[in-house]
Amino acid sequence: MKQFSHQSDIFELSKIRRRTVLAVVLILFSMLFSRALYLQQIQKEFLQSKGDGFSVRKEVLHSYRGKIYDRNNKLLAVSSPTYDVGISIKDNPDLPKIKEIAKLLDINEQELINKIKKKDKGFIYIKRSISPEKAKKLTDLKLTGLNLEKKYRRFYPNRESAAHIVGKTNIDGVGNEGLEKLWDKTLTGEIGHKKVLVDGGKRIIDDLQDFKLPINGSDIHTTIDSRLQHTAFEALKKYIERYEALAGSAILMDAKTGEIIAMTNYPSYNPNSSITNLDAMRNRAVTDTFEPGSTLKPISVAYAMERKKVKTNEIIHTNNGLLKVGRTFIRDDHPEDELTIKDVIKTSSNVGASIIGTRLEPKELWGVYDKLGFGKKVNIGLPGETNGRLSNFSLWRETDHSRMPYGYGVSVNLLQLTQAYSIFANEGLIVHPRIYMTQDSVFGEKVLSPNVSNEMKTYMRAVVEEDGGTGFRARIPGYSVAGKTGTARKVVNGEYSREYVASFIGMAPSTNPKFIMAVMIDNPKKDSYYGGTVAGPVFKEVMKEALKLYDVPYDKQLNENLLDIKMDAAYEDSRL
Amino acid sequence: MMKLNILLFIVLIVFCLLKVNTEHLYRKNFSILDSEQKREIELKEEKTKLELENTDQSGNNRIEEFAKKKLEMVEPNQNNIIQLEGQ
Repeated sequence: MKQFSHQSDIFELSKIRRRTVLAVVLILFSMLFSRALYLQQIQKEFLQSKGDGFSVRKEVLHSYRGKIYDRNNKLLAVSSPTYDVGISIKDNPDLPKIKEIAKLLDINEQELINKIKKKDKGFIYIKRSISPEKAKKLTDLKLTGLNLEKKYRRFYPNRESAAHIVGKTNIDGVGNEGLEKLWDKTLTGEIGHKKVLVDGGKRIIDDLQDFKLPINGSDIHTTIDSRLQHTAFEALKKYIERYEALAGSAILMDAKTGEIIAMTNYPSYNPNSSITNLDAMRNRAVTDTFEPGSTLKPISVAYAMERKKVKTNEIIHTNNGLLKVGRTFIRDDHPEDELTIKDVIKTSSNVGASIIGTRLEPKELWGVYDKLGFGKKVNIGLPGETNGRLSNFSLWRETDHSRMPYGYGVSVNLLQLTQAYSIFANEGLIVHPRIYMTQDSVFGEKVLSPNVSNEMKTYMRAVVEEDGGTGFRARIPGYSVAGKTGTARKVVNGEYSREYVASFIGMAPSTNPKFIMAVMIDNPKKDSYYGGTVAGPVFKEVMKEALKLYDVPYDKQLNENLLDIKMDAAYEDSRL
Repeated sequence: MMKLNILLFIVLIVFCLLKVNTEHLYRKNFSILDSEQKREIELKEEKTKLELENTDQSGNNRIEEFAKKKLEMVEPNQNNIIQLEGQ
């Protein structure tokens, strides 16, 4: 037996063999190396993309559009997932399953089959916006080519009533009306993405650290009360239809904080539907201006009282309801020779208001209107808000000066008018309306002294509560109401026409107002066009509900109103 | 020396197996985490949907429709309303 002197001797080979093995190994290594070089460098991108195609997926991370809430955290707008159902047509369709799909989606079986047969190849949509539950049932059918595309659809539970405030989004989810438009960027947020590794079963198995997190849209909390928003809309609709008017708006505001509780318009539109009518989509309460007419009388008269241009016990000689100014005449509907200031407001005397108002210099009268925000935006944060029109006092002629105190020659939107009336509910301080919930304190600029403000409130109370007042239709059992009616002629093609704007603005309970409400009805044509008759009842219906909902204590005896109600028939139209 | 090499080789094999096993567990858990995250989104969406349904079902429109059509309620005539004072 051969003895080995060293362990390495076991592997001792002849020189030739050793060199051959070494050469083969070297050749093999160089082949491997060149192949590796080829794959790693020359074919790198192609192979990487091929490989990634099987195992790497880019996922979109959805951002959720913010919700819009009312003051009680009830939803006004929300996005919820829906699915669009489509089918890719390649081979012969699986008819029994198609029939099942038709049954599930409540669509005509034969129509669907014809639709599929008509198109040999390609993709067709079967139904859009189906619920996630139905989508799951469809997935369970496991039909080849069935495609379910997830989308987020915007829903508006309040439909027509809050449409003008909330607005709507278009088919791509971009806000194009109301708050949806104004806060589109804030509500939308930003979508994100991530790169993930998937296995053969398409399950995500790893995160490739290449991602951007989505930023969800912020929610918006409004001051709207959807219950009263609905009440206001229904009441407005009822009286606009009753008097065959063109359109109308109503605003209910918290008298102390300026929070808008309801702001509604008619005609309106359903934001859940894709049908659009541009005329019905306007938020008339902030976009449309009108000459307010008699509703400005309390302001001009109160300011004359403030500037001591008239005494509270003064008798105004109204010359049997006729006043000549330049070449024009100012007339009263209920001519009287003498009126107290209270009667000027209660019977809505144009002559009386003009006599008192013109005792103020044009600059003074313009000054108070300017302080109340006429001619400039309230800046409440709603799209389409208009300035209204208040020309500079230096441009006023004599007739302008005489008409301004009773609300002609100046145009305002309903929101501006509501803001102006806050001086009577807050002892002379103006409170700015707001539509977003904030913790900010409310500051009001002083316009009138508390005495004058309260005195005028007493006169306005007579408009509604006393016999002969023009606003008796706004009486509410158990509560005292202070308000003012307005019936102003509309300017059509530069001239005053026989068309009217009927309005009513008031507050309740008058002893300590909780709410201010303004109603404007454009061009009522049937039976009456007076503010007290057409707009007064809208105020009553909504204010009654608001006071009840917010547990506002009664400030007068309940039963005293029973007599008034029975006297309704005895009254003619409440004028002006 | 040979024994040490064999030992190190076995240790290497064991660690390789552990690494493969850990990677497998990681991927399995990641997959579960991903599906749970998807489930979380689904539940959030479900919550929003229920919130929406709640708002819709308790909405004024539905209550009014229900009162008028099913319960056949009507607004009382003004003359039939008697206001009662609290005691």
